[in-house]
Amino acid sequence: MEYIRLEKDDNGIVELILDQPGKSVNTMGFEYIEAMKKAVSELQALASAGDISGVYIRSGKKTFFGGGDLSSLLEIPTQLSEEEARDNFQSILDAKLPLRYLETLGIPVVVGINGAALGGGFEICLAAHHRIAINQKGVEVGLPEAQLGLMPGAGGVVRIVRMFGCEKAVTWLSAGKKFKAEQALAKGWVDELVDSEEAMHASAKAWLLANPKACQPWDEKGFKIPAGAPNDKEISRELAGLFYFGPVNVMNNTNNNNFPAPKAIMACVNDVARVDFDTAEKIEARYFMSLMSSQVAKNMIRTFFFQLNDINNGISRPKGIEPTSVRKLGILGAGQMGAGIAFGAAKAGIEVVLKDISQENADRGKGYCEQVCKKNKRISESQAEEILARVIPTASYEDLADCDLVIEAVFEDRRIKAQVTRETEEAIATNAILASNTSALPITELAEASSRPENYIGMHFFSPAEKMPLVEIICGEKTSDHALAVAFDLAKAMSKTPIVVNDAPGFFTTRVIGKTISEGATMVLEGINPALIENAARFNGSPVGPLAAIDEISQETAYKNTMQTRADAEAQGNPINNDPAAELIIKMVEEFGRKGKIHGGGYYDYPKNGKKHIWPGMKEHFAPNGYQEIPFEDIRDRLTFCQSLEALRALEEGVVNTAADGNIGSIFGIGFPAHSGGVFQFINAYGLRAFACRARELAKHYGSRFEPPAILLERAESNELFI
Amino acid sequence: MTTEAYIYDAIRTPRGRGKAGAPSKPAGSLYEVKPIDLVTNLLESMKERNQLDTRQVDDLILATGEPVNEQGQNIAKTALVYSSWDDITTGAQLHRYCAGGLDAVNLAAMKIRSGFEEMVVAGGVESMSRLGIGASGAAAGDPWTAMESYGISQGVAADLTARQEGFSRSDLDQYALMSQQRAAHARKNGYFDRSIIPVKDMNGLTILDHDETIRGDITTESLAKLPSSFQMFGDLGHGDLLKFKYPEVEVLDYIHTAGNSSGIVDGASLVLVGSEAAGAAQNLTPRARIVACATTGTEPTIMLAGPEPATEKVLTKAGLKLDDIDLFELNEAFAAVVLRYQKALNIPDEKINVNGGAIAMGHPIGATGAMLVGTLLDELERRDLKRGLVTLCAGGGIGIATIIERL
Repeated sequence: MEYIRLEKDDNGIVELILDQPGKSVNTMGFEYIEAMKKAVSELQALASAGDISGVYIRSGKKTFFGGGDLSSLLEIPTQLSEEEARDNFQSILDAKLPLRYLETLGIPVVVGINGAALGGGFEICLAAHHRIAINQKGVEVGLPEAQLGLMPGAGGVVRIVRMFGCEKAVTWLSAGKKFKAEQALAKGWVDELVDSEEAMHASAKAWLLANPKACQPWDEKGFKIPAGAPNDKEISRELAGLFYFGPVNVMNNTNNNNFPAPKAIMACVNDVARVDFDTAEKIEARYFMSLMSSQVAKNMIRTFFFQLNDINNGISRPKGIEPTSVRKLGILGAGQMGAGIAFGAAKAGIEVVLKDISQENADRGKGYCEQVCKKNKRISESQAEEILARVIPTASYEDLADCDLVIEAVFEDRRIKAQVTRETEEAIATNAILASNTSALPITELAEASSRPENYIGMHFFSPAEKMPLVEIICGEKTSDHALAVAFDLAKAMSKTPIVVNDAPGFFTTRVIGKTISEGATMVLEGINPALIENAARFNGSPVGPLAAIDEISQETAYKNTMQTRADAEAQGNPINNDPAAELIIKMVEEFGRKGKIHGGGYYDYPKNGKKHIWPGMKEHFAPNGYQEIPFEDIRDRLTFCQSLEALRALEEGVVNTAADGNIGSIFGIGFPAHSGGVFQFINAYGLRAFACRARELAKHYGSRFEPPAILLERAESNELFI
Repeated sequence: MTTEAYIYDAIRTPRGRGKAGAPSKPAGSLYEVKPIDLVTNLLESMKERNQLDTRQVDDLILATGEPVNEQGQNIAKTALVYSSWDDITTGAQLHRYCAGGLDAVNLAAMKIRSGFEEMVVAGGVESMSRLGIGASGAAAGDPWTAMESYGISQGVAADLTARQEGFSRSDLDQYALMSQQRAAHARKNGYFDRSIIPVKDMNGLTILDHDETIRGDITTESLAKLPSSFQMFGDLGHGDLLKFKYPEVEVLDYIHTAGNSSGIVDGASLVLVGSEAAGAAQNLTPRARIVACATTGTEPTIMLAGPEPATEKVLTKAGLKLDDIDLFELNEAFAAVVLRYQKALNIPDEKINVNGGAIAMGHPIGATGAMLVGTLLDELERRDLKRGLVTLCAGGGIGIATIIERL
């Protein structure tokens, strides 16, 4: 069986059918390149013999074409030898050339899109003179390469620039845009929609016969790139602005090229718009190649493609348990968290009982759901009505009676949690699951209040729960596999990504983020300029700095938690937590009255008519004689290394079991730099030995908390990556 | 022994407001004048007032910041061909951003001191009203190059300089006020008269005979009212971009305005440089010798820090110390540039830009450096002092400096 079949009909139309042997989805790799070269040279022969009236490209599979072969991309070394580089470059050109031949054969070419046509798959479509898609679910076209640190490399940039102009090309390609059938038609990515596969074939052939002279606009005489090219004699303000401020924005938005794709795309769009088509193809190939071998692309492919797929396919779900579903969900506590979870479940079609201590509180929680609906432009009024109808606010435990699962989202106070556990269990069925949304309290301890600890589990949602994509599921000592499966399936039903971890204080995410918050505090106490700390976090790729993060949560909340932890420790006869984060919070609240953003200011001041800026008191109190100078690279590394090191300890202790859970959890839950691929992939990319050396160096200068744990040293010895 | 490079003459046009005309918006006085005429006016004047046998002049080097269109494709030789100068004199065009005019003088000095040439004219020309800033495009405007280079608006770089040095808006405005007052005083008392050559039309009618933008009546209050000139660039991304180079920056205050930054003007300048023998052959009296010159590069994002290291470099070359310099001319690109230089080298107000500078009179990019040579020499003569130093900051972090010494 061959990848590409050519079938000619009575009208001289040749169908070019893409059907990769042994795969359910066509991909663009070595096999494709060879097959397409051969197919196109046959078409050339037919065309020069005058034996052909048109070419109809379609898929022999249920879907059209999946894109590049990502597993082979992972194998490409980051440092190519000259020979490897030459070979790679040639194979990129080899993928492009047949498409160029195809569109310049002198006979019309049409493509029929019966499913997803993404990346390389859509680049094939772009070489056709006419694109017909079936208007049905699953049909989606797009060039999402940038989302995995790549860019189109088979003529996608060259053609999109010539079809839509530079500005749209930059916007769409850097965002890695995908469009469903109707949107694709509206945007001009496809030319025609039909209702069925049969209609697609008929339309395609009819179009070929009606358009014997079809030619790409860019091969017509006098062609001009829409909205102008950067080397035109006169260029518009918009185009000048795109290439003057655009590059600045790329650098700022990617925090100095943490994500290399937007930079390559911006420059490539400019470069390919200045030259003829064939030269443009070479230029695109060079940029594509630079990304193909980049470390960031590997990080993103590994984590956001392979590992995320693994998680969503259930690597951490217990085996052998039938799929479960929660029909009715109970939520205790109608605060922002409870209400956010309620919205997410109701949106997924689950009945929700939203309980609080008073009807008024519960109603307020439902009001929050209403607000969320209103703010979300993608939810229509009728959809909002349906969603809200599924949320029943109540003050009564009895309404929880037939819930399959109840999530407790009350205050982080052991006594209150114990009390609601007992009260809930009296109301619900004996086989119903009770999940605590605690972010840090050990599940095994909380389960002591439960009469059915096998049905007790942790489901840690992140705030705001209606937006944040992660759920951290925590198994207590006695939690059953069944309970885990139910929690896992519920998270999936709510379109969240579930990671599964074991019980320990702070579980996985909280303990990891805690380290960077603490490191930020340590550096403040050392007298380091807070602006450097915050900028270091930003340049690392963290969405917020460790100081701004506390301002948002509020120092007061952190203070209360600190005092609670201390009281707990004292009650249990444990040593009192003296970490720098605690010390700094206590000072901020008790001495300086800086209680957080909502209380008028914390580490930052928030002037009414201006940008927030670091509170001048920071210098006055923590660096009165001038800031402590340490290398900026050290500040940056301290903020990331502390997290990866803590993740290693969690791995060593069995709190987290897979690199996938750790990577995805750290990015989706606590904002670890996405381009790094997560806490574990960060170590792989750095190089295990190099990471251990750097950790030791940091330990020497800044404290033993940076000493590499044994698991790292062992893995470094055998160079066994964390995958 | 090395041949000395002597300055025999230094002339310039007055500086006209660099505004193009538009309905209900009056143009600057030199807007109607083609850049080539700014040059030929000076060439004819230089020839006439020195009774110059132009066959003895080897070369004309002209700097311009926009070598395109009317200023394009070697305006130096084009101006020579069009003027009454002999065909034997050649010409070349030079671009070193704001440092071009002084670099032309330095190159002339190098030609003479090497003994390869005998007499060279150096200067610059800029019609900012007719060409506009950016008319010739920019290599740095290529997106990939830009993203690799961290370039920001020069004005934002000036604001960053002020922040790094702790200069306030009122520090900058105070300096600007002094520049205006000094320039007004100098103009009123005829200190510029020896060098200024009025721009005339084809009928011999004077179009402009004085620097057009000096505002002797300006006050601290009126300066304080001016809006920031570069905030727009900061808000559109430059304010964040610079943090990759200067991570200690949190919020930048945009405090440079049209009042405390150099003005946009039109003008041209020429300096006649030659060996002792070449001057003597034409009965010319040397006014000064060019002692040493230097260029150097500094961090390109902040870009304006070149004058200090260039000064240190040129002093070392000359075997001199700061105290050996009687007067300094540092181009007033932005007030913060001068204040930073004064602070770093401990130079008192009394020794620097004593007749004002570009904040009052404007900065015709390619022409400025050679203008400053003339301004400095005139003032050294007027005060009967010996040595002066000219320096400028320029794009890409370039610094340039030249020491001249009266004979």
